[in-house]
Amino acid sequence: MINRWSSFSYILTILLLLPIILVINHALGSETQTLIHLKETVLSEYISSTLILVVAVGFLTFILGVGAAYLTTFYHFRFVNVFVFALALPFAVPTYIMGYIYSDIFGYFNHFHIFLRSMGIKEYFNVLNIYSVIIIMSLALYPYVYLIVKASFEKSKSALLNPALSLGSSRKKVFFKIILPLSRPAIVGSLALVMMETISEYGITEYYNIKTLTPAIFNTWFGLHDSKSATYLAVIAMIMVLIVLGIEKYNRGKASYKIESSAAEVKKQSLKGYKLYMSYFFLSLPVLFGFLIPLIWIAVYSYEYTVKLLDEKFLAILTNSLYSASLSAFIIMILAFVVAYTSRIFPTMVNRYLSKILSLGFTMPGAVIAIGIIMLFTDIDKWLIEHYVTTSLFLSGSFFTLLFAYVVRFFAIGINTVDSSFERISFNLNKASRSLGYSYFKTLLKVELPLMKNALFFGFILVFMATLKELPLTLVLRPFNYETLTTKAYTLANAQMLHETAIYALGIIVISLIPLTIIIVKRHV
Amino acid sequence: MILELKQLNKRFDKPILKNIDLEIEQGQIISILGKSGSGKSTLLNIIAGFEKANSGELYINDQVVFNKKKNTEPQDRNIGFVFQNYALFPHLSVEKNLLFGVKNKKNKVLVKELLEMVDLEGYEKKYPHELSGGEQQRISIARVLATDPDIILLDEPFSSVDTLLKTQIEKDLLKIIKKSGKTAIFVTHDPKEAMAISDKIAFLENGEIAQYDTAQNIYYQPKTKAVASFFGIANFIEETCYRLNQITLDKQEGMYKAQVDHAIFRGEYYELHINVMVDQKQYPFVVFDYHDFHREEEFYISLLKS
Repeated sequence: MINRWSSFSYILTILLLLPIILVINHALGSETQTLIHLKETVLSEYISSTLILVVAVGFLTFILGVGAAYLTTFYHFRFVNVFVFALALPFAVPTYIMGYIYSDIFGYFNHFHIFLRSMGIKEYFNVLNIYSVIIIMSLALYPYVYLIVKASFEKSKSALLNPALSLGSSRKKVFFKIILPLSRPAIVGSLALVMMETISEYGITEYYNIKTLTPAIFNTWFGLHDSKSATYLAVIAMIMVLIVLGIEKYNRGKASYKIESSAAEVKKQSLKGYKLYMSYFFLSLPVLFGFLIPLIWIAVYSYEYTVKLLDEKFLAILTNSLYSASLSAFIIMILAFVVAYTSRIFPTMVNRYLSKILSLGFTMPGAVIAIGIIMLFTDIDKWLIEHYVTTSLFLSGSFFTLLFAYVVRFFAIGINTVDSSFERISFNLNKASRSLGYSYFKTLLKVELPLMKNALFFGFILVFMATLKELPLTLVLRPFNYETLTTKAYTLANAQMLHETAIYALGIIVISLIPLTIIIVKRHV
Repeated sequence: MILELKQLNKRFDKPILKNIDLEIEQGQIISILGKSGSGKSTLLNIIAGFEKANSGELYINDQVVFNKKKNTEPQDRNIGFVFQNYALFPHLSVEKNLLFGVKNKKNKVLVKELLEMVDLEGYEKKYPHELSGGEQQRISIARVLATDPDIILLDEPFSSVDTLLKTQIEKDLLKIIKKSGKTAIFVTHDPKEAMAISDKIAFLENGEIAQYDTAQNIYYQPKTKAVASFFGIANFIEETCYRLNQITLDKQEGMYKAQVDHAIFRGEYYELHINVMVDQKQYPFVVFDYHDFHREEEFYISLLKS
């Protein structure tokens, strides 16, 4: 018999999976003229550009992320703690914002070229190409690799470095033979995240006119009004994501990478001479280009438009962003908590897999989810109108649609934090509470919830940040005339009013920096 | 009867418990004993209601709590459960832990009484992480007693305790339970612990109760060879079991002739592996003696029967 807790989880799973199922279902079947045309002309370019982007960004983020994690974990030098913190900061700058900023800096009439001309160089370097996109996306996404791999390095360092050194191995050998292989899941896992984000990226690829799958999905849907072809492209993007996930899963294999945590003190090696200067150079690059230059640009142009900061319109947009991000984070954390609690108290095979199934939305490109949700809610609206429940579109274009999309997309972040937090709390506490007369629900409120409040807050912050920076879903599914910081920045950038995006970018970065700092300081990462 | 189990069955991938029948009277202290994987913790969890049996009936205080139609939730069974790792709520003080299952959350008198009972007066405001293992153990039993349960279930309560402290904690816990007059069921894998604390022992073997009896009967009159060897060194002549303290050795005379196969020095004594001749048949025995015997040395043994 299915109990109430499990029924809730099953219904939620079906609801959150429906958009993806609808996309796949719609893509199957006969081909449209547009699709035949796409296949004959640009489809191979969409796929190859996406692949190039994925591989190149993966490679660069690997170099930047693993390199930065390695230097800051195993070596001691002046300002190392400043770098530990600063290297995470580009996380606060959304990729598309970084893209807008560099397109401005390198614009023909702007800073870089003015400087070149003052030096007598007349040449024009056009940055609106795939190479710039690769570099910018790598600068924006490497913190994923850096943070995850650093956490893994730290753990294996304190547990294994001393024992391995005592066996007579050199530090270099220990790193390459033991610590690096043990961190493989962390490296591959974080690279998979980066690659999925790359496939999903919309703002910068569209602005730089790179013909990848995600902008193609939107253009086919909204430009060519061909839903069939759009879903077909969406399925290709999904297959790419599944390949990345498959590689990640295959890579884990059956080997055990579990390391017992240890509090052993490990002495860091000091860096001197040219190695020290090279390290400074290497670590400064991503901080400079990924954070400081964008921040200076934003600060300069925000100052120009300071008066707008108190503008009613700006405040309304800021409120919208804060409201939608915090409300969706709140809803996601509650739902994730209930689903994770269900699989904790009823650990059936199905319930154990629910969190994995429900995490699928995070791996899917925002474009796929967006068109899936449009299809789902259009169908529901049609049904409601046909059955005289309502006379106009009820769900499509509503704020609820946007919230639902955020839940589909970011549920994984919520459930992962809740799941790992539950793992740290003995189930005997739950049993003890029930044997003392409390029901499952009361136990949840009196025992698990108070013990998990920090983890829930942490999860809330992560979802909040992700939602705040989200662009494609918000852009497509927001209610009419509903602007957030991201959509406004996008609209202004596309209207070639790049400098005016500064205050909106400032809003996003400042709001993201507060929780990011809390997380880094608390060493939750 | 405070607890009655009738034909209880539980299976996961394979049968874990088979046709379990058990009757426990008010105030008795019972141990459920068996090797790991014998189903003893599952049985305790079924009694508590944390797991559901596949068939059978379960009565607590003559009220049915589980049968084909009914399965009472743990919170409604009026049982107390003491966990291996104590399961004290880390975010609550000792006082709040003790009053967790009590309706009146301000019952200071009860807290004082309970802390007195477990010899931890003045611990009200402490938190679990500030207590030693033994203190946590006593608070967890006091928390259970606060709700005045019909039965106290204890899942390997001494397994997390240091060997040196174990005897003392065992004594303390037994004293508290005896003082409370409650019925208690211990799950343990330690036969010495079971014999020391229980009025009766239920020995589980392959999911079945191989024997349910007093410690003395189980020790001297084990029903199966598995029961016999679980409780200590057991020597057999046909089906009759002889314990170490039922065998005497003599170099001059005795009931049966015996020959040393080999001897192992154990510090305080020698462990002798001998062959005993009874009616032209050889039976391998293990006995202890303070003297060394050389290989193939012959002597006599005499057997006592309790």
